[in-house]
Amino acid sequence: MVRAHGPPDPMSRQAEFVFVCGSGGLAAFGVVLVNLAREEVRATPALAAFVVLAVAFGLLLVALRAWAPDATPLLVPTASILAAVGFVTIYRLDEDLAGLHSWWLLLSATMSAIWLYAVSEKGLGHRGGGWWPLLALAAGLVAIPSLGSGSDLIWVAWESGPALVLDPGEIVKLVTVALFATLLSERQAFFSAGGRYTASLNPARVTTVWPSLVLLGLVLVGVAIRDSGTSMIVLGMFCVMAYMATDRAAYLVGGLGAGILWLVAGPWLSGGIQTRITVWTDPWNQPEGPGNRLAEGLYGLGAGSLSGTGPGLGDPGLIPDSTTSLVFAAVGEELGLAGTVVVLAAYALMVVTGFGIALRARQVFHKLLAGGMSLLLGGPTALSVAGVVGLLPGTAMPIPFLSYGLSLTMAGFVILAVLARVSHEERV
Amino acid sequence: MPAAILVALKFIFVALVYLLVWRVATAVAEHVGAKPWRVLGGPGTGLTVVRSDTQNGLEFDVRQPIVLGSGGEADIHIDDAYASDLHARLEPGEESLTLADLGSTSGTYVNGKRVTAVVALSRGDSIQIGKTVLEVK
Repeated sequence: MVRAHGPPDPMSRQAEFVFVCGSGGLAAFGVVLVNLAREEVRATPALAAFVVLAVAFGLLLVALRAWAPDATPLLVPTASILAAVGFVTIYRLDEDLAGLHSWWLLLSATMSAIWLYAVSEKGLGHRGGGWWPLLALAAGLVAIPSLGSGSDLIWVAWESGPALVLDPGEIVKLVTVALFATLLSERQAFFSAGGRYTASLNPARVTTVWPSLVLLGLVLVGVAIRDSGTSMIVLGMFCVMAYMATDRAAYLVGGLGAGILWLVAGPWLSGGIQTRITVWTDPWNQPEGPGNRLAEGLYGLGAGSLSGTGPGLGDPGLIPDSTTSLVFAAVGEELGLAGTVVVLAAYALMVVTGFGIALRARQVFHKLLAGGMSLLLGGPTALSVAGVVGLLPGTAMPIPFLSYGLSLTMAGFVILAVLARVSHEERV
Repeated sequence: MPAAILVALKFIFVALVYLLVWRVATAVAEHVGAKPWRVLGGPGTGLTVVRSDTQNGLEFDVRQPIVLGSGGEADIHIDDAYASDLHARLEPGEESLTLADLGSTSGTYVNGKRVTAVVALSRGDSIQIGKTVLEVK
């Protein structure tokens, strides 16, 4: 089909490439600043930062141009800015980790390019029945390790150490979005009827929904015990996506109710949650214990004040998990309120772009998929920031593009690729 | 390295981040404010270009008022030398689409008749703008 004269392209493909190189330059400049603060002059790390950012996001742009040419040009530039700020923060905290992170960026970009190629032939499409039970099974299987008594969400760990750990939580989130989008678009009538049988519903089709929902409940409970943030996101995603599919506000009210119930009943269910709430209510009286996370994060943000100490000049190393869950506090310490505000603005822009794609999409499946992926970008970020500043108890979690992590970076690129593919297919 | 220079460089770094995000923000604002150019429609609300030098096969649905024309202000661009900048307006009515000519130079024709007032369209009607012919689907 010929493309009609639509809204003018807000950013040309060439501008996108220039932008991505600009983000690479930003990362290189940040690395130079960190080294200057250490009174070192080294060209190689800065050059490497530029090359990694430009190649990783450039590769994604080339793949988009080849296999999703009508995709919106607004997603990749924003992600590349965040990745540049994240890279500088990680480099400042741990040079070796930044080296690994470079590989994760390149690997994730390659994977999303391969995915874009794989779906370019037949498109995301509506693949018909039979997919959602499989997706539910996948979500269940991935979540099983988190049900175990292990201390953390470790699913695949190589012998080299914790740096190479894959977090099943990220996979659970991606799979559940795909599951919800398929389930809700195929069984819209079921959810619109609030789970009741109606004359228009074929009972045989309705009964096949329940096993998936039961499995989903198990996944939620399982993940909730070990990783409350992921469970809140999965539950929140289901409620918002069900609302998007059915226009029934009951799903939103129900989700909110479940969240409040979790806050109230959580302490009785799990010791971990109880500790988090104790720490949350009184972080200052537990300097050596687990309260360190919240208190040190707040100290970091406080030290950063309005404009930050400057890259390489603060002490974000004192903040626990400063390359992952509390990366926002590390950014706040060295770039100050000015830096954190612009980072949040960048996330907001990505979420707005994602929801814009969802709103303009015509197919229900595409609408839900784009909406769910946007939630996956915005939800963890909002919860994490709320956790870092002490608005919510212990929800600080790694956020895509800014934090260190293989599974997280991969998830971020997958979200970008899926949103781009939907916007290409819908041409919105 | 003197501290003052490091502080100045820090501000330059943050300013650069702002500059890049600002560039995206203006592009997003432009995009969000733009009219969606194709919206969902049922039977009798879609149009297909069936005769044109360059736009054969172009399809679009009408769920909100849209303007056809060769100018940049038109919602759907008609690539035709005889089309006016803002040539005709399509609107989804209660029962069917309606079409009005916007004072075009060469006129708008429905099933061969020149449009002088608002006309209701039904499936299979053909709309002629310059040399371009569209059909209601």
